[in-house]
Amino acid sequence: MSADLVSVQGLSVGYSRRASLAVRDVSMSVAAGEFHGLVGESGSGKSTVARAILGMYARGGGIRGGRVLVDGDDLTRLPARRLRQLRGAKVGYIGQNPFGALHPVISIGDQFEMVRRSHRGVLGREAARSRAASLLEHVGIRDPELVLRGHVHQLSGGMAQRVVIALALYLEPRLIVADEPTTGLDVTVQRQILDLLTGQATRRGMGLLLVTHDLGVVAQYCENVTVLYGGRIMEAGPVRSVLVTPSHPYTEALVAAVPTRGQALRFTAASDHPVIDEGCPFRRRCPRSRPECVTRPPAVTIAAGWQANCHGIDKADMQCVS
Amino acid sequence: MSVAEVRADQTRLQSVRRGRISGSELKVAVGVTYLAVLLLAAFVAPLPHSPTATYPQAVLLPPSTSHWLGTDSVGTDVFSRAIKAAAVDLPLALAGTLAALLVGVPLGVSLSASGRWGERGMRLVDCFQALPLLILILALVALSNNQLWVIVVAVAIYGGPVYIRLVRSQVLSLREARFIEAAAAAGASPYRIMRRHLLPNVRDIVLAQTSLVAAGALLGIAALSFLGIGVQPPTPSWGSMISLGAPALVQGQWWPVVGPGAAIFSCIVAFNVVADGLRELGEDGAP
Amino acid sequence: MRLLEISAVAKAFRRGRVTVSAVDSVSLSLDAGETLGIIGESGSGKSTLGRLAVGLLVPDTGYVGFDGVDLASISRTELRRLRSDIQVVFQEPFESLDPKMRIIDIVQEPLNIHRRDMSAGERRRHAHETLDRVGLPDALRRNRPAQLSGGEQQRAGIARAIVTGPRLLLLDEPTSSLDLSLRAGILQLLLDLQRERNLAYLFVSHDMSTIEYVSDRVAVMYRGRIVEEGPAQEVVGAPMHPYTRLLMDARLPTDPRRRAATRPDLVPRRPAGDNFCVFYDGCPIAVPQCGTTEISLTRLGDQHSVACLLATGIDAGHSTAS
Repeated sequence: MSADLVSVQGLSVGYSRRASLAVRDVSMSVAAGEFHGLVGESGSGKSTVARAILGMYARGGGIRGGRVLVDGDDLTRLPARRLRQLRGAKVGYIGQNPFGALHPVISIGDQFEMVRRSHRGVLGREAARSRAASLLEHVGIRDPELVLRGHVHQLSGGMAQRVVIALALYLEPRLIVADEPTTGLDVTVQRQILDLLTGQATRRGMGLLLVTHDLGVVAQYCENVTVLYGGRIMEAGPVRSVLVTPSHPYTEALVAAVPTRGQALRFTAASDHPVIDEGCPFRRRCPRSRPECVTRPPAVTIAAGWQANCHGIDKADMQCVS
Repeated sequence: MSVAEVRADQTRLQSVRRGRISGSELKVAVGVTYLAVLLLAAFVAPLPHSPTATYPQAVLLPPSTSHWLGTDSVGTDVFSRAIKAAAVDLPLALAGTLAALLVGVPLGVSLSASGRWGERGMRLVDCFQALPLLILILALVALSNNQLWVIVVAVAIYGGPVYIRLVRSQVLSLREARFIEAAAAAGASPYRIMRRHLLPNVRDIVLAQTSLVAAGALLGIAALSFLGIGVQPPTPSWGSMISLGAPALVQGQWWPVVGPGAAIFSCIVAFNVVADGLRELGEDGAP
Repeated sequence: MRLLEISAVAKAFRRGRVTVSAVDSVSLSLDAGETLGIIGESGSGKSTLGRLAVGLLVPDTGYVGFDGVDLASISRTELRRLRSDIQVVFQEPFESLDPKMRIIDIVQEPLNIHRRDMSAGERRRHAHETLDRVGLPDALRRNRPAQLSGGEQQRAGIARAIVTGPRLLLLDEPTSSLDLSLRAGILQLLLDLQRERNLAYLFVSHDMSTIEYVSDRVAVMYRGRIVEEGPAQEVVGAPMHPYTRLLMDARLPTDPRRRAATRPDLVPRRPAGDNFCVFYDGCPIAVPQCGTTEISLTRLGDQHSVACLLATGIDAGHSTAS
C-alpha cells in the first residue's frame, strides 16, 4: 500500500441538497508507473472520482465519507494552500476539452509561466522557458517557440490537447489524471495523443489514471481497470482478466455491447437509469438479478487483485473463470 | 408571506418535483395574488374615507386611527386615495403593456424571418429608440389634449422595441436548434414550425419580460402624472399624489408621499417576483 | 430503379469571405432494404452529404433523385409531402426533440402533417403503437424530453422517424452520443425495423465498428470526397485506399489480447498544383504523381471503387501535369 501514489478509500461524494450520493464507497489505488483505467458511462461518477483525487468538487459538492490519500497525504485534512501546491506538482490533470482548459487571451508561454509562479521555487525562470519548449517538442509540436508565443485559438484540437499534456507534465507530477483526454478528437488523432501521453508517462515513471468510456482505450493502454456504474464499483482488476472474462453482469454487458460483425448483438433492458440506493445499481437491467440484489452487494474476490461487487457470483462461476 | 421568503432560493430539483407547488410557482402565485387583490380593492372594497373628497379643515393630519396614513394638503385621506389610485394606474400600465406585446411580438417574429429586411427593420427600431422618449410623449400629449389613451401609446412606444428585440433574438437562435431542423425534416411547413415550435419556446421568456415591462410602465406612468401629464386630479393616481405631497415633505410631513410611494414600490416588487418565477419555470422546461 | 440516386453533387458553404467545399462531386445510390454506411472524420462532409441526400440541403450542382423523382424539380410543398417517405434520426436525441412538447405529441406530429386522412384518435393510436414498437414504456409518453434518459430519447426520435412509414431513413450518428451499453439496444432496434419494413438506411457515423456491423455497403469520405466505396466486408476487411487503411489501423480493439495495429502516421505534404489527390496532404504512401493528378473514384471489382492512383495502377490515372 505504501507504494500507492493515490489511494481512494471508501470515498463517497454528494452534491448539496441531494439525498443521493454521486459516488458511493469507492476504493481504488494507483501505484507509481501503473496505468489504471477508470471506466463508466455518463453519470457513473467516474469524473467525480477523478476530480476528488485533486481535491476538487463541482459546486455544492463535497466528500461525504471515506478519504483520499495522495502520496500519503490525506486530502480531506490538507489546508487549502497545501492542496493547491499538490495539484500540478504531484497530480497533473488533463481534461476533455483542451479549449476550455487553456486561457483564451493569455499566450501559451505565459500560461506555462503562470504555472511556474504559482508553484514558486520549483523551477528557475530561464530554465522554465526552455523546459516548456522541450516539453512541447516531446509531445510532438514541431515549432515550440512559435506555439509558446501563440494563443490557443490558433491551434487545432489535437495540438491544443498536446499543449495541455505538456502543461500537465511541466511540474513533473508523480500521477497524471486524464479525464476523457481524447473524446471528441478524430480516431487518427486519438491514437497519437494516447501514444504520446503514455509514452511520456512511461519515460518519467508516472502513474496514470485514464478516465474513459471507451473500452478500446483501456484495453490497449491500461494494466488495471475499475468499472463504475451508478456511482459504485462493479468490478476491478487486471484488464486482461476483467475485459476478457468479465465476472460482473454489468461488465459482461459492456464488453458484449461492442458491435462485432457476424455476432449477434447482446444488450440489456431498455431502462437505463441506475438504481441509486443501498443495493446494486444495475439490478433493474441485470439478467442475473435476484431478490437479494436490493441489499448491498458483497465484494467477491475472484483472483488476486480482481474483485467484483455482486450477489450473483458463486463458487461455481469462480471456478469457471479461474 | 414576505418578499424575502418568497425569493428564498429554490433548487431546480424541487420545482420539477410533482404534486407540490414549487418555489417558482409560489413566486408567480404570490405576485399575481397581491396585484389582483390590490386591483379588486380599488374597485369594490369599502374604503374608510372618500378617496376624492377634500376637507379644508383637516389638511395634513398625521397618521392616526381614523386616518391610517394621515391626510394630504387638501385634506383627503391618503390611504383611501392610494388604494383607489390602483384602479387607474394598474389598468393603464397593463393596457399599455398589452399594446406593446401585441405590436412587438408579431414585429419581432417577422423581422426574424428574412435576413436583409430583418437587419434593416432592426436599424429602424434603433432609430426609433434613439428618439428622446419623454419629449416624444410630451409632444403627443400636447397634440392630444391630455387624454388617457396617450399613456397607453407611450407605454407601447417604450415596451414595443423591447419585445421586438427579445422575440427576434430568441427566434433567431431557436432557428438553429436541432429540433427545428427535425421538424423541417418531418415535413412541417414554415408556418407550422413558427406556430408549434418557435412560439411555444419563446412564450415563457416573453411572459417573464411582460411582467418587467409592466413594472417599467407603472413607474413611467407615475413619473408622467408626477409631471402633470396623463391622469389628472381629482382622479387619484400615485404620481400626482407624490407630486402634491412633495412640498409638505420639506416641512417634515412625510405621510402624504409614503402611501403612494409604498404602493408603487410594492407593485413593482410584485411584478418582478412574477417575472422571476416565470423565468425559472421557463428554464425548468416542464411546467 | 434505385430508391435513392445521387450523382455528382457538390455543396460549398460560405464562411465569411472564403468558400469552403463540404461535398464535392459525390455519387452514390441506395436500394430499398439496403444500408449504406458513410464513414469519415469530423469535417469530412459526411453529415452534409446525408442532408443533401434527404433534401434538407439543396446541392449547388448535381442530381438527387428519390424513387425517380428529381428533388430539384419539385416544389417546396411537394418536397414536404415527400418527407413522409424520407425521415431523419439525429445524433443528439435531446436537442432534436422540442423541449416544450410531450413525447407522444412529438411522435404524433408527422402524422398530423402527413396523414390528415386519419382521425385524431387514429393518429394517436398509431403514435402509441409506434412507441410500443420502439419499446418506450407507456408511463414515459406524457413526459417532456428532459425527463427521459438518452436511450429513451433516441427511441422517441426513432419512433418519430418511422411513424409515417417512410422508405428511406437518414441515420446521422444515431448512437454516437449514447452510452456503450445502450448502443447495442438501439442498433438492434434499427436492424429489426429495417427487416420488418424493408427500410433503406443511409447510416452516417465516425465509428468503424458500428458502420461495419450495420452496413451492406460502406462509403469512406475524406475532405468532401468519397475515396472508397464497396461492400462492407471488402472495405473493412481488405481496404484499398490508404486513408481507409489508416482509419482501420487507428481502431483500438476492445479485447486486450488483440494488439492494436501500429499507429499510422500522416506524412504532411503540400500539393504543387491545382490537381491532386485529396489525401495527398497526409498519405503515407503517396508518390509525386499523386500531387499532380486529379484522381476520381475508379471501379476495381464488381462493386468496389477506390480513388487512389496506387490502388488502381498508375497508368489508370490521367496526368494533367505538363
